[in-house]
Amino acid sequence: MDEPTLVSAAQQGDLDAFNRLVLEHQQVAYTVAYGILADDAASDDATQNAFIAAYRNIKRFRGGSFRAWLLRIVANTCYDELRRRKRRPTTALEPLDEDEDEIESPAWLADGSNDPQDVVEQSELNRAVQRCLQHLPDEFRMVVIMVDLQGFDYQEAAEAIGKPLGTVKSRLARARLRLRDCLQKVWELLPAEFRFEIEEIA
Amino acid sequence: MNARINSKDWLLLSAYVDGQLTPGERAKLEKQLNERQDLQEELRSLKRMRALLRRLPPKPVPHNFTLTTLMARQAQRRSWWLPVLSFSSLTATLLLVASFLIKLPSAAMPAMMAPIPMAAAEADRAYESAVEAEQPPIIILWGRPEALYSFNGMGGGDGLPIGGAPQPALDASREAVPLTEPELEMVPPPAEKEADSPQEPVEMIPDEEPPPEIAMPAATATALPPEEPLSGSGPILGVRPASERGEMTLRQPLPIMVVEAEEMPANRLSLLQVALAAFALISGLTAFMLWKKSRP
Repeated sequence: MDEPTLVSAAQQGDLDAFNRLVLEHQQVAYTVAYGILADDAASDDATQNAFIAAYRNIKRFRGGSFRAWLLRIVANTCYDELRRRKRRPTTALEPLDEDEDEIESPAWLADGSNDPQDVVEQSELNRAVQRCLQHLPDEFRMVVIMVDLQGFDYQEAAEAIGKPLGTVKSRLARARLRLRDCLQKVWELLPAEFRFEIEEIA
Repeated sequence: MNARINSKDWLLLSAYVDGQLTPGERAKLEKQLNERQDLQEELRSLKRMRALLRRLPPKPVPHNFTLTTLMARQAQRRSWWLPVLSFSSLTATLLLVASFLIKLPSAAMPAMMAPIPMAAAEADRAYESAVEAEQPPIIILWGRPEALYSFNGMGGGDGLPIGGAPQPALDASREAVPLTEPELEMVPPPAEKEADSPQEPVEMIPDEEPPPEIAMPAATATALPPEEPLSGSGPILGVRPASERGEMTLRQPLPIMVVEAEEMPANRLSLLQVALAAFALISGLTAFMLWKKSRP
């Protein structure tokens, strides 16, 4: 069955049809949630709650991109969680530096004597990107996650955040500028082969 | 960013790498790119970062997020609270507005009042009927409201027989007395003058302030003389002896009780309105939070 048929069946109360939609979109939903919250447990909860909310409100879906509609619910759920965190701040387990960032000091960032070839791993690159993403304002982060990490087009991103196309364009440009500056150090420490590979893609 | 690159240039470059420029904007930008080295460097760094981000593998999901039957049922059941709370809030708000508009508690005031004003009304009616008949008055001294609340042994005979005294004086006394302090009340005519004209209405509360030097010991004010026989055919529930007229008596906090009897409905009205407002506010806020939480 194609997506519109599944959506229509889910609107009639077909739970199996809805669960097939869940399986189809859970990866992007979880990625967006993790990009916003940067926490495994919180992203897990937010994604699950977002799917429950989507099932409750699926009769209100009036067509268009189901993925954008779903991600809007995910984003709202994550923003609720962020607001709850601000009301009830928790203490970080790791020590904080002057900017109140966690001091984790990956070896390939802190110590130039180590061979980058040995320490560059995908997970650490992910962590570096996550750190830079967390420095972005919430509304910027959402756009750059959807467009640059998930490959959304501008129109779908606009539907997901409920803003005009020009807002997406503006937020994305400003987010990219900050992210480029933040990732500059990471780029310089990457192995030459890796950098060359990226340049080829770009 | 290079000093020569402004935010507008960066905005154009960002849209350019995503193919979001119009043909005119794109041609103009490409012309500038051919002429400006700094723009080329910025474009290169932008493309590099974009490629780096897109090369990152997605974080794998920890488990499937499919809904169980129980979760689906709970999701459907929860949505019933929203209309219920919304309706409750709306109803409470309308009732609150209605209570302000029609002043419902004020209309129901007589039914809600304590028996004190009712007794006073009965005494007033007895007084009016006695005046109209112009006969030896049927003295029905139910006791002024303060009699029910006096606590110094005065009972109902404090020298103010409602049936034989002018009512305006009584009303004036209620309004003129301070609320908290007991008042020394003086009846001006002396006892012998009172004996000459026993049927003459007694001025209970003079308009002018009583001279401060007049004071009565508490024993005089509280001691009750034996009752005198009265003439008449109607029921006589109580009368003040003539020897006591003209004496100064100590009034106990009558005004306080009267004021309480008059303000009681207003307090109830306020309580009702506050309760309605609180209910409307709480249910409305809860409904709004539920709606906000469940919005797609």
